[in-house]
Amino acid sequence: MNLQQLIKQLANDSTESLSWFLPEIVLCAVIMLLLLVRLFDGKQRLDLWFVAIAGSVVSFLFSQPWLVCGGGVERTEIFTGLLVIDGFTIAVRSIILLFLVLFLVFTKISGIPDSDDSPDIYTLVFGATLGMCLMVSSNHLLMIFLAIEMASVPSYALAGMLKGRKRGSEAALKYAIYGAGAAGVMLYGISLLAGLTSSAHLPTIALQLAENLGTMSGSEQLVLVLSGLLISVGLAFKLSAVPFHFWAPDVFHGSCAEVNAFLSIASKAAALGLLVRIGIGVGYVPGLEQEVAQDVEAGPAVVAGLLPVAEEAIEPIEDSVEQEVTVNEALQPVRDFIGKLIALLAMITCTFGNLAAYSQTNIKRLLAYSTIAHAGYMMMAIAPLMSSLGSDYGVAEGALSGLLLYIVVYVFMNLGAFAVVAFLRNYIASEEIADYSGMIRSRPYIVICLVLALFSLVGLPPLAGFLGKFAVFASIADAFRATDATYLLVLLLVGGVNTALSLYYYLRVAKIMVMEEPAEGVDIEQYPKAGLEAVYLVAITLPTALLIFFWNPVHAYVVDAVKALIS
Amino acid sequence: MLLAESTALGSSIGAVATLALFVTIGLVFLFVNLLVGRFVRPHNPDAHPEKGDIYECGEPTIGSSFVQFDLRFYVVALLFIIFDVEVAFFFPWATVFGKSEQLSEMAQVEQAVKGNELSADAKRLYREMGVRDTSVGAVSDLTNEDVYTSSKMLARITLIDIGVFFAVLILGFAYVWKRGDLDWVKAVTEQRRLARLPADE
Repeated sequence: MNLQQLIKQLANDSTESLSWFLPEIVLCAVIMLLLLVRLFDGKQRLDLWFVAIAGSVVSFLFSQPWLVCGGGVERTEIFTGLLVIDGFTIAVRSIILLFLVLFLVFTKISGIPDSDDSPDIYTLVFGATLGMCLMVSSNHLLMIFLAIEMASVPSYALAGMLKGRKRGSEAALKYAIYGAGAAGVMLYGISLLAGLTSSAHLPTIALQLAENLGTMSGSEQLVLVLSGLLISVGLAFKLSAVPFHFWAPDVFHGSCAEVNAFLSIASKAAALGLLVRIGIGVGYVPGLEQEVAQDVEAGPAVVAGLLPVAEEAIEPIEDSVEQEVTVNEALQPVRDFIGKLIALLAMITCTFGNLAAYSQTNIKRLLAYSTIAHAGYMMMAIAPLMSSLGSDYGVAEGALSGLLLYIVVYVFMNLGAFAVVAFLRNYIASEEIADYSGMIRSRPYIVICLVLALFSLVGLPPLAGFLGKFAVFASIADAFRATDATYLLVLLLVGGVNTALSLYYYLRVAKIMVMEEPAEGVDIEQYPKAGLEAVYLVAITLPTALLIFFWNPVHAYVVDAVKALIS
Repeated sequence: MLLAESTALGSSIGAVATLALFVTIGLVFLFVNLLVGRFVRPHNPDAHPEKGDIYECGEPTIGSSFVQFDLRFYVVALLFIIFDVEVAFFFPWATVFGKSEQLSEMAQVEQAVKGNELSADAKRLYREMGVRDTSVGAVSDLTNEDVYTSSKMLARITLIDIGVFFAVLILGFAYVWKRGDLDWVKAVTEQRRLARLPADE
């Protein structure tokens, strides 16, 4: 390919890619606007919340969540293969942006940040969200690393948002140091993987692995396994999966409940999206049939121009129809490895999170461990996905749609819990569980909302949390029947036992608030009456309570979202 | 190409076990040495008080090393790094932009394509821009016009790119400046500003 063709292709590719990239561009524009307005607003220090909320709504609309309905989104690689857009990307990106809108409303009501700090904080929030959007669409090892860093670095600063507080600074420092260590280890893993397969483009890596796995020497396999383990360190840090969870309780304790909600929901959703991206990207080559049908120049040629290795890797697909079956069959060991690794991490994470939550006396620490446990539940969905991806697409789609459903549910129930913590902090200036005793007499609405959120986190039937857990566990059971892999059965049992374990510590909070007497000397009448807070909480809790009636459309939506991804 | 389950990652547990073995041996090696040192070395700090010094050999220390270090140094260092990285990004951009401009000028004076092939100068430029295949290839009637439009296009795209990049950077810089993070003695400057305010109004 000569320079003229290359330039034309690059120009075409960039303009076509931009239309898929609009939500991210809007986020960038909002960041610029926030800074620009503060430059010229003189002494009055406008509250820039209105800019932020308008920007987040526009960005959410541009993410076009409705495109997914009917499964009409083809897998499209944009920006010369750095990013990939498909139903899954659009769905998770929309969830993250919807959360951003809800989160901004929440910060306005809870009053942190004030108008003086608003451009700083919202710039960081939008920057982190931008990184998260890139995480769920990345298709290239470098992009994965950049996206993780882009999401992490603003989060470190957000953790220290309350300036001048020792705990806040400690949280930010711990988070930054852990993050830097995990990023370094992950980069090492990325370099090993890229060196072994001489590419950083995930589908190309998958093709290379499919071709070479059988002939690899023992030491090369060892390096491959090592690279997988090292990359999983970086991801486990983002997911706060055990044994890389140490930062989570301290960071959650030190930073304010608003930041906790952001870290616990948006960051987890993005990290799970990235985990799926890597799992499917390295362990499976989607859409082989279509690429074969096309002129080989048209599709991946753009990538081939910039990443010369890809050209050679794409060769084997052309050969015969027989070959395309083998590519995805040959990747079965890779998928098994990823699936087993994630299953193991998920089991440990879930169990540890639930057990450690028992002895917590601070509600934010308790919710931090609950976040760890829920990261474990959500990671469980990836094991059946990986184990049945090559053999049984129905089960794989079920697992992925179950994960998406869990994420949707998790957004509402966890945001509800953290919102209550923030509002109660504004009233009683305490985040100790003991200080919540007898709270139901002074503000019943808030307490009922928190109790519903907690019951939903346990996964008790009429509430939304049950639907998420059911979808994930059912997909594990399906995959077990389809593949007869023992570890899936163990995973299912561990998940069930953990659900029972978690009952106690969630209900203890509910019991203290509802059944115990208020502490001595506390005049419950002196607290201000809840106004806007109650409205917001009810609005957040309603989906949690009523999703069971609207379960079908939501389920149909997530099934549509994953349809074009793997088949 | 078809792989046997036993040779490949099917035995991934074995590979993980090998890695775990390496890690364990590494850890054991470290701690065994520390332990041996602990038993072998003499331990009498009272007899040699200079053992407790920070620098056992050399200068006696003056004061504690836990001195307060001004945070503003970090702010300045951070700003320096941002602009340093920015300049590092400018270099590759400048070579591409300059060469594409050069190519378009060459094409304008009808020097880029001779006959049906690129001229020697144009080929050199191509290679410097990283295009390994300088043959015209499938294009049978390459003209100076084609080379001119495409290289102008590249120049324009890169100019827009760097414009956006630089604008973002400058905006951030202006924001930091406005916030007063660049004032060396921020607190004093702020006080002076506040003190001046009533007089101004």
